[in-house]
Amino acid sequence: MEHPAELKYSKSHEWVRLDGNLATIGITDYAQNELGDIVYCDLPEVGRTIHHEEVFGSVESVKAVSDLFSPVTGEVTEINEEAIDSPELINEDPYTSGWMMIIALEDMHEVDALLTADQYEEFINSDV
Amino acid sequence: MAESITPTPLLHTPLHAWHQAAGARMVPFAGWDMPVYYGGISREVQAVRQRAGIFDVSHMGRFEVRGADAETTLQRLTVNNVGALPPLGGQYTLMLQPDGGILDDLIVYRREENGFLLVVNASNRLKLLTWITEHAGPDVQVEDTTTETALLALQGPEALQIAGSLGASSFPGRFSLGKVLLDGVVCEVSRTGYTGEDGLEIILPADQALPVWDKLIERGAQPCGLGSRDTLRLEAAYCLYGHELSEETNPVEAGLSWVVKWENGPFIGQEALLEIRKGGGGRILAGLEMDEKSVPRQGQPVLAAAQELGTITSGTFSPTLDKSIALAYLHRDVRGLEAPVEVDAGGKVRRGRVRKLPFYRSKSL
Repeated sequence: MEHPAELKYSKSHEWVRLDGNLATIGITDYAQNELGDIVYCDLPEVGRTIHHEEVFGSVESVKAVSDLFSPVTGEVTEINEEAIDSPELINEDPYTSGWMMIIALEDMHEVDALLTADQYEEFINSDV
Repeated sequence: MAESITPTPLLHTPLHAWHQAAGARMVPFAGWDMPVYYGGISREVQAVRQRAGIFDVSHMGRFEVRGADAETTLQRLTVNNVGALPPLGGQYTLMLQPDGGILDDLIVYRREENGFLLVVNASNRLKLLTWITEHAGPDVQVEDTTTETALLALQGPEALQIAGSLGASSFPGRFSLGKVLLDGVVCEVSRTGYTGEDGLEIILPADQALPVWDKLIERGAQPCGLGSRDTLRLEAAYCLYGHELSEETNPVEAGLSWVVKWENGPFIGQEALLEIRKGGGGRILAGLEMDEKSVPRQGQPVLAAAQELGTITSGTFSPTLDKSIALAYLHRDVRGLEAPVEVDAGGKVRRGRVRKLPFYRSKSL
């Protein structure tokens, strides 16, 4: 199970990659593995403002539906249409081509409260 | 001292250790710890449709019903015509409550004049054992042989070829019993399945199951779990107990009137069923094909023009059709109209339309 060190993580299994004030968001390798083959992904409209811990969309596998919780607050500037058309990308490359949305952060310090890769790994191992 | 409740441990099939070692996602089902998938549901569905898959379905109930009163008992308890079964012949049938509600769907095979094999849903094993015993005539013995054997389902266009490569030299006709050699092991087989493909359901002693399972996989059968099994049967529009069938549903609305041999009564539930059939109206099982790949789920309401039409009983993503599909009980008027509908998925609207069943028909059957 992969959890890249340069990313930050939430306890609801989303990751954040920060680039200036732009936060790219997706779900972790652990999350995609738990879901199984993802067949559908629902993402928000560009321009919408999403708040920390607000549901921003959902992913579905044959046997499960999972809400997606935003780790940060800000305006959605971009969503990954490819992930909508080919949701299997989320299983195959959850950190690269399987990204979900980009948010323009209102408060850069919000990411400080998220988990590091080590902390996230500890969290998922303790959860079992 | 406080009493503690010890949960009943889950039952294990003869192949349980193999599933775990293979990394299968395991889930409790009808009191058994069962594999849902190994690599992925879609991959397993595709393997069965294009080549062959092998399923461990040893959890399903298997009963031997014997005695001079066995046939009359089964004739009274089931809706199909047991009397018409030749030796080694089998038939799909239902057992009903007196009010027409469905106790289970099952297959009855005749072994000999006074001996029958029943294969029933795992979730109804105890219920049916009790029901049959309570209603049995004086000379009937009912034996639950479920845990003595393994039941493997080998399904797909290459299923028979794979069995042949392990020594099977001839196969029974559709729905019949036979015996084949698989890697030197004498196995009982029936030419049946729950996938909509040709294939065999294989019964063999529990302690001989593992080598045969291994060999079938070695020869090309893809291990498949309950997840793909559900998707395959849904594509073929087969009913599943607990979804399309229950004690609150009757055979007429489930589209299973063809199973009922009305003139071979009396059977339990016959009077109620005749009333239901005469009544017309009510709801009927229909197929839905969705516009998006979001998966319809049991219990979700189905609407058209803001009017409630019915409820989803089963849904899945079908890799074979590359669409999401569902079965639903809808008001009778809607069916056959290819009407557009909306499914209420927890407040979100998903669009689809009613369509003819089955969703998929194999060339191999």
